[in-house]
Amino acid sequence: MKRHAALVLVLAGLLAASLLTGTAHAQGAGGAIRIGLLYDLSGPWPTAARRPATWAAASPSRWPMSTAA
Amino acid sequence: MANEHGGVGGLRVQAVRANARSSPATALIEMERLIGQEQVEVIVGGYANAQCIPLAARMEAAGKVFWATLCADPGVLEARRYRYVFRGAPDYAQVGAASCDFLAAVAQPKLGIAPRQLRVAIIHESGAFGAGVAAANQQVCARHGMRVVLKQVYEASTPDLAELIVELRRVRPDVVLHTGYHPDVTLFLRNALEQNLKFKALIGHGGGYAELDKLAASFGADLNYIFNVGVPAARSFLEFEDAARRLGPEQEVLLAELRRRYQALKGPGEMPPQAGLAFSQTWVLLTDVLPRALRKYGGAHAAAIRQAALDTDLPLGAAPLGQGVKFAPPASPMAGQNQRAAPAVMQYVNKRSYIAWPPALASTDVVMPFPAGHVFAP
Repeated sequence: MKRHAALVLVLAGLLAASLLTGTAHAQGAGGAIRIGLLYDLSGPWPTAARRPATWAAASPSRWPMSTAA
Repeated sequence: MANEHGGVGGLRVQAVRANARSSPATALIEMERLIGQEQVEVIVGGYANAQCIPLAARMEAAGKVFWATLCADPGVLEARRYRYVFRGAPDYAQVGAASCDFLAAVAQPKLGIAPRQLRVAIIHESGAFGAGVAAANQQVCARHGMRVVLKQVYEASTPDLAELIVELRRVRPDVVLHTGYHPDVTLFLRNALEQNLKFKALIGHGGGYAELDKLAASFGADLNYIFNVGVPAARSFLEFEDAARRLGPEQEVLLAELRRRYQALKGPGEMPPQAGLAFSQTWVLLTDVLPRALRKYGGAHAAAIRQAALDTDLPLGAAPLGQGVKFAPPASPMAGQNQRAAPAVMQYVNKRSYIAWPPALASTDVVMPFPAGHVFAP
């Protein structure tokens, strides 16, 4: 029972710590808001694989899903 | 730029970078690193749908905000009812709908044809992009009562579209709606010229049609008066005073600064439209959503960012590229989609991209049908 209570306390502590850490990271331990930037470099895009090699070579296009001009 | 303006609520913004390397598996590993080791509460990015679909599901499960910058397949959000995934860019359905809404507005005044009499052909590559846009074309054009005389799919890797041109010649559409990538769009235009295909208007939907410089280099004046649907690139505003005036003075300065910095980093040449889109959405996050999260919801943790995003209410024209921002609420089948991501219809004239529609952003009068003497003019 004691072990169980201790475990719950430890877990609660870990949870609180993780929440605090998360908040600190998000709100700025050191005064910063941290934002993940997930980008794509180094292609080729998946659709390029479907094209004949000659076209892929002729077209450096790597923007298959553009919706813009 | 945000930090140069004092940060967000007095806090500096720190970007933690990760490269998905165009691999869904790598994207997931990097996402786990960002929210685990790096403990970020929001991830900005996402490009290919193959990455976006698993990323969105995992971010939702983790209760962290995924601020998707492209991810244009409606299936990323449709019927998912995600609470932590937001997409500011138009999806395929919105792009496909825009061309039919545009035609419904201009068919009678420009072509002298009532929408119910308008003959529309829909052609598209077979992937999710082409199929998604074409499905919306068909649905929305039909809703306007237009006559869809052909809906034809082809493989993007096909070496020849001659049979498709034969079919188009047979059904004699007034307007062709086309969705494809760079090589197949070029192939279509080349085959159409060779086989003397005629129509009153051609509307592309991003992809290959977005690559104005490449198309202009290949087709010169034959490209004139072709339309393209999408979010306007920064150049569509910066090169034309009329268009720039449609935006606020702050946006014009912002876009000019964005282009300057992009060129300083990447060298001369135009910024790809995707870069403008990503910038625009990140700017909304930093200048509208995060300040509200801090002020009203007590921090920049995921739950606060989510609440702040749901409060966002920017009218058309307010975002840097002329869009508005209002996310569909959690109860909506398209929860998290920007309902004001309305794409524009651009028209190409002499290697420039003018905004033709909607009227609120337009920098030119619509030229339709092709003027006499144009290679595609009937």
